[in-house]
Amino acid sequence: MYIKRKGRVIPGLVFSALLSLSYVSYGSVPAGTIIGNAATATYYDENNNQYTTTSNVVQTVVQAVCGVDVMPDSTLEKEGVPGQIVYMPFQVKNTGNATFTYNLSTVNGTYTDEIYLDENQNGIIDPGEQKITSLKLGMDEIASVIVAVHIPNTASAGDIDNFTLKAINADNSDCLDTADGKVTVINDATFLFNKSVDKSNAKPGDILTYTISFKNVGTKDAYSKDNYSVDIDNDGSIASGSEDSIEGILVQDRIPSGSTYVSGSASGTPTTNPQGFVVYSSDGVNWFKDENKVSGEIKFIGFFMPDAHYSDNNSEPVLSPDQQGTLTFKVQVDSPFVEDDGSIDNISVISFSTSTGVEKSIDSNETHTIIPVSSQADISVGGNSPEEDSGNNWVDDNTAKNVPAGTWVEFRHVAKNNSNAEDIINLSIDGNNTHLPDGTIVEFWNSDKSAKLIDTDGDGKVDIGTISGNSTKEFFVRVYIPANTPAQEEDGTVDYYLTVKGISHNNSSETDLSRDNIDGVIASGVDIGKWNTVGDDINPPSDGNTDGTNDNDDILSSDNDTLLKIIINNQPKCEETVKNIVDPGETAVYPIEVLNRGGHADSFSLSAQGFVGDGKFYIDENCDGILDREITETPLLAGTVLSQNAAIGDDTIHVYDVSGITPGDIIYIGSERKEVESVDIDNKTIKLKSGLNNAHGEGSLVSEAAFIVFKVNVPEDQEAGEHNIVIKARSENGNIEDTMDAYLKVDELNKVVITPDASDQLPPGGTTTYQHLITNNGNTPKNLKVVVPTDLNLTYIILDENKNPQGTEYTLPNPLNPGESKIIYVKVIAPSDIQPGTVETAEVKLVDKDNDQIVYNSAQDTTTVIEGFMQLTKSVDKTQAKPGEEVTYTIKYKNIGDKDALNVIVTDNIPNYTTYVPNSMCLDTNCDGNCDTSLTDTLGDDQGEFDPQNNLVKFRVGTGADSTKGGTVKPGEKGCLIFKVKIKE
Amino acid sequence: MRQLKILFLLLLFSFLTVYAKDKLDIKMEAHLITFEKKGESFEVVKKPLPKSVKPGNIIEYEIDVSNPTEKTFKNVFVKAPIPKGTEFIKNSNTDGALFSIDNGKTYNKPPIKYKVKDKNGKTVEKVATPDMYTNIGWLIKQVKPKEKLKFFYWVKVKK
Repeated sequence: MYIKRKGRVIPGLVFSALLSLSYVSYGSVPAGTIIGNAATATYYDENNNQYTTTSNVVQTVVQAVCGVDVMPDSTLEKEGVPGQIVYMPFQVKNTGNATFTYNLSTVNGTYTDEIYLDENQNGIIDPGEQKITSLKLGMDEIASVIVAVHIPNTASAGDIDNFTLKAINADNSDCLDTADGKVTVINDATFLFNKSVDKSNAKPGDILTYTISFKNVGTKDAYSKDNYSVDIDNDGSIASGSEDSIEGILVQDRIPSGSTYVSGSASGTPTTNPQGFVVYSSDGVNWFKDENKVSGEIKFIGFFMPDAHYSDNNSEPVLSPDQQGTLTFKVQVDSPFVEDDGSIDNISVISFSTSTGVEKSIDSNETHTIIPVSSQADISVGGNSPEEDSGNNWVDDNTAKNVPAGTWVEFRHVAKNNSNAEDIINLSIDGNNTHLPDGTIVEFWNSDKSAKLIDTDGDGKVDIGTISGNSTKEFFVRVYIPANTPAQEEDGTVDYYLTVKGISHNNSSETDLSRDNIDGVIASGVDIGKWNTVGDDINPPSDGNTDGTNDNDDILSSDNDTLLKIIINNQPKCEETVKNIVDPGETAVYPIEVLNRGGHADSFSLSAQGFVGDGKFYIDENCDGILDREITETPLLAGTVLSQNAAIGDDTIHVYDVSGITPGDIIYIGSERKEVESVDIDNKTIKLKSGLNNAHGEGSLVSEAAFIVFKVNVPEDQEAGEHNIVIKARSENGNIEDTMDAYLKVDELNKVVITPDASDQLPPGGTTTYQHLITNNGNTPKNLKVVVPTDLNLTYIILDENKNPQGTEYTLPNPLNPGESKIIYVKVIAPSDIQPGTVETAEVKLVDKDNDQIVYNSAQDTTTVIEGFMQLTKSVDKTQAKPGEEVTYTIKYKNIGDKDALNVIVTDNIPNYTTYVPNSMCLDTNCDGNCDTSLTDTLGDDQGEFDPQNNLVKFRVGTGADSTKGGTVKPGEKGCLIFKVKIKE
Repeated sequence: MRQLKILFLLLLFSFLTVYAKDKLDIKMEAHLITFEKKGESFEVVKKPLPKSVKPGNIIEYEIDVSNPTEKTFKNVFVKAPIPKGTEFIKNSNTDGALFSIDNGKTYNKPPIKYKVKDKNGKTVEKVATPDMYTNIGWLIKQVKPKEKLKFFYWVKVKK
């Protein structure tokens, strides 16, 4: 065991007396101490958003462990003369970590002895000091005890009494310690040498008065000792020979650590016989009579008693038996007092020679003056010298301006321990002096903001941990302002505040307060508008139209086909064309920009109403002109505010938070748009790709924008019309939203048609009728009129759907609605005198009911006037065929005249790019599509043949037809002829 | 009073309410370390940390970090204090760890040097001994989705 001692001149021979006292422990862990621990992790995601996670807290309690140390460790030796009571000072220290009781006893000694508690530690038994048999000691407490040994009158010089002092734990006999004492009987000079101090407890700055008493309690004179260096002529220097080796008895004392000698305070006796005087020294070697002649600080005080011939190098008697004296001096306790053990300790020494020429030194008892812990808690802000508030004067308060809702605001604090001992400062919120929005979260964090503070001393309160005396420790109060907090202006008036209370662990009545203020709150916010319209102060919400009023953010009809560009560094970063006047089936395109104006990261849901068809939002995440994906909500858009003013030309800005901001992002500083080059997470700075064009003050918003395109797919059948689309961006943080209007026009689509084109043959005087279908494929009802030509060779008459003649113009009785159809007919009459071979095409026009010049559509009716009576109609089974594929032709013949047709032969050329399919000719008598009579390809064996030389087929038909001649076809008779060809490969 | 209660609750549960999802999960366990003789050698035995310990006992703190999210987190710094009343003692699992001697303000790899003034007022450089460590930490470049990590360190209850 080791006790730190101060003010000791010579390493311990003996302790003459001790005081009882308590020390504050610095190494041991008291029983009941809670050892608590928690881990913390700080980290970032890919967007540089910072996170912190703290684990659960694990705890255990320190058990009580016994321990005792009886000191000194080496044998304590003292001398005495027969009949004398020798005081043997010991110390008993509780080295356990809890309060224990120890029983005391002496064993093995032959002389009578008793144990006393030396309450004032002066090394002697004073009136009122009691005999004891046990001690109750707190952790690390030390008690001074005296074993008073009675030397019998009958003892002789050289007799020895050895004894052992034993301390045993009252509840645990295994917990014990001992120390040995030895009293030697002499027949010579010896001293009762004790020391006292007027204060056992003091404060820094107090004056302590030490009194040292010495008395020759031996049987013979005490003689002088040689070789002292004393400025005995008081000239300020020690002369060689006459002053550096003189004889005398010296009582000396080292000014104890933690104190300073009080000038002019020392005095002593006797001053005659011997002619003693006070001496001073800075090194304990060279002594001066005048304190002002000491070079350097006075570290030693002494009382020197020269012998009668002090420079003759002979030892002579100085103090006779029972002769006594004193030395008194004063010291001032240092302020601040920084001694580790919280105590000022001091021992004096007297040096002399015996009658037989033996040089001896005797230690006094050690005095202890406790400088009690004067713990104070002082919380302050903004500096390293926090002021200890005597009341709620709010000195050193913090004020944060323009705090964005939905963010954490941090307040730096410095806790100072003004005491001279370790302390723990507990932290709490003083609810009586706190006004915060509902839902506010308050947390205490450590100095580097890496971990939340926890309860380290197990008292249920968060604390800053152990803080040394007269030192400071930084911590942070982090306050989360709820996202729905309404806006407050920064106007010099505090809107919200909280009061931090620091409470000393050592002295719970010692507290201090500090207030954190908030002046101005930036509410959550969003700005939505056409590209290049957000970020300014003109931000009207939707007014339900785009009529030119309150339309700053809106997309107007005049924007149609306008190419919008996002310009960064004078270069277009991305571009998009507005398309808001469209036909049915087309897609309307609205480039919109969503800007976070809340000062904290936020995302915004997107919605629109008032459009027709299918509307979807797409984001161009890096503004490269490519729409990356469909969204219904923006990504988390970064938001913060400037933490420092930014000047024109600055390309680095300081912000409170860089979360969510990554290189390549497009951000707004106020209304100025810039691209981010890099982000410094540690220093919370953003480097821009180009310098600022405008100055921006601290607190200006720094916000991220999203570039979005809203696309509306208009249905094919959408009726024409104008629409106002209201587009909304909304944050659930605070229920904030912004809206804009966008114009949409669906054009009228004219798609009425008359089908099909038709053709036929007729002889002079004959008629035919064409059927047409009128259909409205557009998006609006149409009033229609059908018109046929009147100036052609043939006569054309329109028939309604019931085949009632309507003349050459026919107005449909009702508007034809989108998707509706109507049938009409056109009857063609050939004059009897018309030339056969006439081919005439008539345009059947579909026009506006009221304006023949508006022609929506027309059909072509082609009529061929033929000679005779036979009508031939040719059809094919496929309208498209691949090379190698076969197609079938059918020729229908009919006598449409009123006379017999004689020797009827039908010839048809094989079409180009085809080849006749051998043996594919046949007769289909009833025109049902099936061959009734197959014909060979060979000439002369039946009614038909293939002529390879002329590449044609020939059929002889009618009654009486054979292999050489055609037959007779009577009026109204008909039949069909079939052959096949193959598409050349 | 109501406002005070709300604040208190918020202080207690703020972490859970604000950051309950999309974050790393971090847990701490503690064990009592004893050495049991097995033949000529000693075997390290781990037991659950009892409710009370004695000065001189060794406590192992185990930190489990897991990433339950689909995100990859980067620059993950896991740290914990050397609790008051204990001192760090080296075990084999702390290679690569960083240490602080200033209550977590700065972390370095050992040897950690610091400067003091000697009795002559001259500034001299010294190397911190393990009992001077106040905090321990591990810096991980990234933690991938579903990845799990473990860290250990030992402390001794001061005598």
